Amino acid sequence: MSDSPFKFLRAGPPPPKVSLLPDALFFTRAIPIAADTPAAEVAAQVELALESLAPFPVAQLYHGYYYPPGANAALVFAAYRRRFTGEQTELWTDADLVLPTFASLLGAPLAPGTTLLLTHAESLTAIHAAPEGPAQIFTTPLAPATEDLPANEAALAAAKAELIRAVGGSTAVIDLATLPVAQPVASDGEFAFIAGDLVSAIPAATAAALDVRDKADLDARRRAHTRDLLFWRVAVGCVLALALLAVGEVALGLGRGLWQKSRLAQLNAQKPTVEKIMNAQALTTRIEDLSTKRLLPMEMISVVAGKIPGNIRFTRVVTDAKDLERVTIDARTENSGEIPLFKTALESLPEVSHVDVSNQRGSQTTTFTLTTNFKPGAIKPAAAP
Amino acid sequence: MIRTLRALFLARLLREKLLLVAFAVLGVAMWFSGFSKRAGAFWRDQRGTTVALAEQKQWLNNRLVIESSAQKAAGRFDAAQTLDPLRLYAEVDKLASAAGLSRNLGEQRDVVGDQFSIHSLQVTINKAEWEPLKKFYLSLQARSPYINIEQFTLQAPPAGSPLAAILRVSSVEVAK
Repeated sequence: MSDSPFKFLRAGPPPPKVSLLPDALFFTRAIPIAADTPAAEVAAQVELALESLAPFPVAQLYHGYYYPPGANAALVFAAYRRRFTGEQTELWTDADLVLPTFASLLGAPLAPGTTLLLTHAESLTAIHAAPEGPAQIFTTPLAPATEDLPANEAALAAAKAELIRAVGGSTAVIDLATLPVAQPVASDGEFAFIAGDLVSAIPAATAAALDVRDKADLDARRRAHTRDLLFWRVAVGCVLALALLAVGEVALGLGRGLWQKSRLAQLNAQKPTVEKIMNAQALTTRIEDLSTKRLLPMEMISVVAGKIPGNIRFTRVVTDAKDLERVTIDARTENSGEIPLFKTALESLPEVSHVDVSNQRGSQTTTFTLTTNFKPGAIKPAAAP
Repeated sequence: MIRTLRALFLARLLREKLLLVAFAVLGVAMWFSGFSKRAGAFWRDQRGTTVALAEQKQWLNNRLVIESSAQKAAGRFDAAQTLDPLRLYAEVDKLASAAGLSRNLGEQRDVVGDQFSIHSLQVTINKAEWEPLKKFYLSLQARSPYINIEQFTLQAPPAGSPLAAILRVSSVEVAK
């Protein structure tokens, strides 16, 4: 079976892009730093020291420093910018870290007195872990290789021996067979390099100071990285939101298809029974009303008609069992002045609760609607014939 | 895996990153918009069903009480005197005839239950004098509660007579 297209996911993240520069191009110095100096001030002190140490202005140097938190000195390294070609620096654009090769091994756990030997094509580097202060860096050029391999090896061995003598005080020497290589790491907080059996882990904050690129460019890169991280977090948030939405859709589907469906089935199954009960309740209420309350339209008309002034004539009388105590009368009169008198006369009756006159229209013949509300139980049924 | 994806994402060009984020945001916005509508509709549906089920439960819980009060209400009537639609029609027609009224009976309505039913009938009386109308009215009232007047509308011409009346009368029929 062919490789899965997602093989790269299982392979883990790629190692960071690190440009390791030839050590021989850099000069190194240790400068004392107070232990509690803030990181920003360390950078300023390093630049100040470089102003006095270097033969060139700081602006013409690629420089960095190694200052693990709490140390009392920083190892400063710098190289004249013109020693790097445009093609070389062009390659640094995509790099996560650009530093001299020896700087990548400064995070290795070395016992004091140990000397690391790094063999470049054209130079040798010794990293000596001093009992006090930062590591000391020594570089020496190598004679160009010849066709005679045994002679080359002998010359290399002699150069190494000479370099170890120059370092002095080495209790152990580790001659690295290969140059360090950046390794993928488990977290973003550090860079890891491996050279033979030696592993050097450098925290990201410390590694940032090792980067020799132009500091303004590095600031711009950091800002771009921060922006990219924001984009990444937004993208991850969106993916999580999409996942949540997918879960929500499944839940909604299950809720609609199973839960709500079963409830609707229950609702529909109970509906006829419930309607029957509701109907029984409505009928019971109506029967109780019929057996205890009676609409007495003629009795109400008689009470109202008893107070009717001479000119007022009823044209329509409406009563309804829904409102047992009310009679609505449409009437007309040639004398509209009688209407308020009629209303007052009705309101004075002990059976009447209140009277409303509405829809009053016309000048010569006035039509109006008189709504008379009686007190509950005030109207008594007339005697049967 | 997430770190691999992150490295892959961060290695893209800025415009590619922007496009990816824009598509992701757009996708979330579109889906969320549709989902919120569907979820809202579902929420309203289920809320309505919950309320309806609770109401049904209340009715079902009160079933015995309602049936018992229905029985009690039915007990107030003498089943023999209650009127089915035909008897209501005949009775009202007889009373109107006895009062000497010209009538028109129609528009019957029935509400049927297990223990009793209610029947109603519209009575239209034209060209009636007050006294026959009153006689008819009183004879109807005398049959209460077996016959009831539910609506009563009286219309008088300007001259005051004859009158026109429209009544809706109802009767209770207790199942025997």
